[in-house]
Amino acid sequence: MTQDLSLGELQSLCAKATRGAGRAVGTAEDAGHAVRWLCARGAAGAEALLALLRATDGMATTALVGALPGAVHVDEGALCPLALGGFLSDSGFVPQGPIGPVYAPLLLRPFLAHIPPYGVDIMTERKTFAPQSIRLMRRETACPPVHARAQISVESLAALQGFAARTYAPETDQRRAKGAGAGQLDND
Amino acid sequence: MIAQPGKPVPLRDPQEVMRLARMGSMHQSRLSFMRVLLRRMKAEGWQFFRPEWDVGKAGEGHAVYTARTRDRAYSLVAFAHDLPADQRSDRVIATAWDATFVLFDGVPTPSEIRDLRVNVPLQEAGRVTEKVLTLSRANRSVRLWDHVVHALAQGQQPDAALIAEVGYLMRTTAVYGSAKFGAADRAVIADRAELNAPFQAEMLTVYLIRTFVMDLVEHMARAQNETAAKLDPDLKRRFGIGNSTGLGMAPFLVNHPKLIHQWFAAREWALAEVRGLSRALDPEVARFRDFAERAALNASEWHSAHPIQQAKLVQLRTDLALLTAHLAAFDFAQPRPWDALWQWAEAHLGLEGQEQLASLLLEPYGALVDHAANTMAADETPQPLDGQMDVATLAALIEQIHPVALQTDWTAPQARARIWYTSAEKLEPRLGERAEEDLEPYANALCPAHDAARLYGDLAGQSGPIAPFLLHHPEHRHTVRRLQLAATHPYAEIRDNMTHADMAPIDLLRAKLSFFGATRFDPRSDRWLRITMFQNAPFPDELPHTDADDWSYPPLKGGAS
Repeated sequence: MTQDLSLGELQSLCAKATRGAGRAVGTAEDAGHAVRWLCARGAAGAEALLALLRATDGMATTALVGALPGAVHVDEGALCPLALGGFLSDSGFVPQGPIGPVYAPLLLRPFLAHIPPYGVDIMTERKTFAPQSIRLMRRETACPPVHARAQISVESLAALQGFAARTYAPETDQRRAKGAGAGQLDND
Repeated sequence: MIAQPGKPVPLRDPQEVMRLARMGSMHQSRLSFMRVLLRRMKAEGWQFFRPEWDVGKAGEGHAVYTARTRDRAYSLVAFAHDLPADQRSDRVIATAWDATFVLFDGVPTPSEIRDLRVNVPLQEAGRVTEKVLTLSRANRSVRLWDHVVHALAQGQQPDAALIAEVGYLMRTTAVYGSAKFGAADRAVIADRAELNAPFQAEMLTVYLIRTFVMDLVEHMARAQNETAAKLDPDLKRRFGIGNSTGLGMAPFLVNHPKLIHQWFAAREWALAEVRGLSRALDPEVARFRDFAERAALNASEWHSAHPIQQAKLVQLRTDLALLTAHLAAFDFAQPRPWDALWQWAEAHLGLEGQEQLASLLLEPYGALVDHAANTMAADETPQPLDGQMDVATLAALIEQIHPVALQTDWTAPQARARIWYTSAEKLEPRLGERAEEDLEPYANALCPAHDAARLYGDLAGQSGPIAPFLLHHPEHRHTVRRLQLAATHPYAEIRDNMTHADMAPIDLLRAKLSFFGATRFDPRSDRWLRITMFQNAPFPDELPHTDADDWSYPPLKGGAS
């Protein structure tokens, strides 16, 4: 069963989920935008992110960036597409040869969407979110957004909400009483 | 007005404008979103209908109010509930309300209304579809509500003094737009001219809620007595819709830097345009004097029970008295008279008076400045970060944007006394005291000044392009993005410490609400306040024959309202 979501709320959820998995604020912002970009183009962005978060939950940055920036290829472990995508986007650098292995490489596409003329495609051997070596190929045609909403399985939604929930402080009487303003009863 | 020769007046420095104390002293102006909406509705001749009214004697049921533009229709679907008093709360964590609403994109069918009835009364616990533009709820002002129902049921008009004291029969406690809980994304409506300016859907929602509330109170009076009176139109107009705003709104100004820049830049541009005028024509001066008097009257009628606001009102009244005295002898025939007046104000008035004057200066010049409302929206899709920027350039950017942050001792307990977090209960934004409990794992990044200072420290000893630095320091990524945005969008960044022990979130709320068009800010603590929206504004049926933009200040005694 799938749940219909607005792109905005999916983006917000994915950013919080990424934060809940221990990633930096800016990385989480990137993740939200990346998922939105992919879903607007009919790609399984939310599922890709979920696979990434599950695989890299709580991992330190050093474990996610391999030998970058020196090399885009790594012998042990795999690269996080959010970290890699951020770096490639920041540098304006599109490596020619094999990259990775990369977790959920689909997530790289949004980071390189601004590379002229039409961004990149991710060339992979297998259709999977598990780490694999990839190559980038510049697109010859535009890839405009076609969807205004996202459809995501209720299981994936629950899993992302689970990650996001880690960012919320558990309720206590003191927090409820002091934290926000307005009264428990407002009969004035 | 006359086009100005000579050098243009520069826009005010963001270091001066984007400070909490000044932002917390802002007033509504011509560019406020409520006024933008009302001017448009009148200019375009919007038509208003009430296709459905199905409310019973106990005040339960629903109604539909439809606004028709030339090409489209927008409908408020209102659900009225019979709420027990012990459930009435303005908090985000409330679960029941006196009335719940959506703004529907079009006119809903009976089947769509049935679906809405299932979800809308649940608010955050329900889901809405892409046909919904906003989701909101409101609670009664119990005292005024009971008084008005009772008076009308007796065939009498309610007490004007009590109306003036409260100002509204119902207050909204949240108005959600932009994609929340399944509602349509901003992208769906951004290309529509009537919804392009900020928060137009939300303002239209509240405007229609006001009509519903007045219909409902008259209906409840008739439920008590079939021969109940209807409200006198002059009295009816004095009711606005209240709003209870707390921390839920506070992070907005930090989380939408590009949008905030557009708002403040439009306002500062307008102010600079007026200051730059070489001459002031007599009708313009007369209009200004009139509004200055009305502003002084507004300040005298504006009351608050809270010491923070009481002190600000003392300042405002003092400032306006000084302005009034100065205007009595002011020579408007001098070159650039408005700029002369402005510079006098900067030297002699407090922040309240200065910001009130900034709003007043725009009043005579609608033809010159109103179009700036078309620049206040923003495409918030982030630009790629410039990783080629040099470390030294980035450090210089921090020095330029956050000199105060670099001079702040962030180890002092005062500097980091507060912590912003989100509660698990209904995801309510909260502000906690760092020393009182361990909320560190849940801290939200809402202090860009501190983040910039931290980045500056970590840049020491680094060189070359920042892309490799960011790869290994992702914790600074969001800060670099903000700084690069602020380099081209000067008003994007608030130059104050959001975690300071004395930081008052109501300063953030007032800034945003002044852009909405709110008047009579009424803080109840340092982190929540009440306001009134559309008070004295014409109702939909009055728009064709009434000035749609003359309601933001009270009328002078004996003058037309």
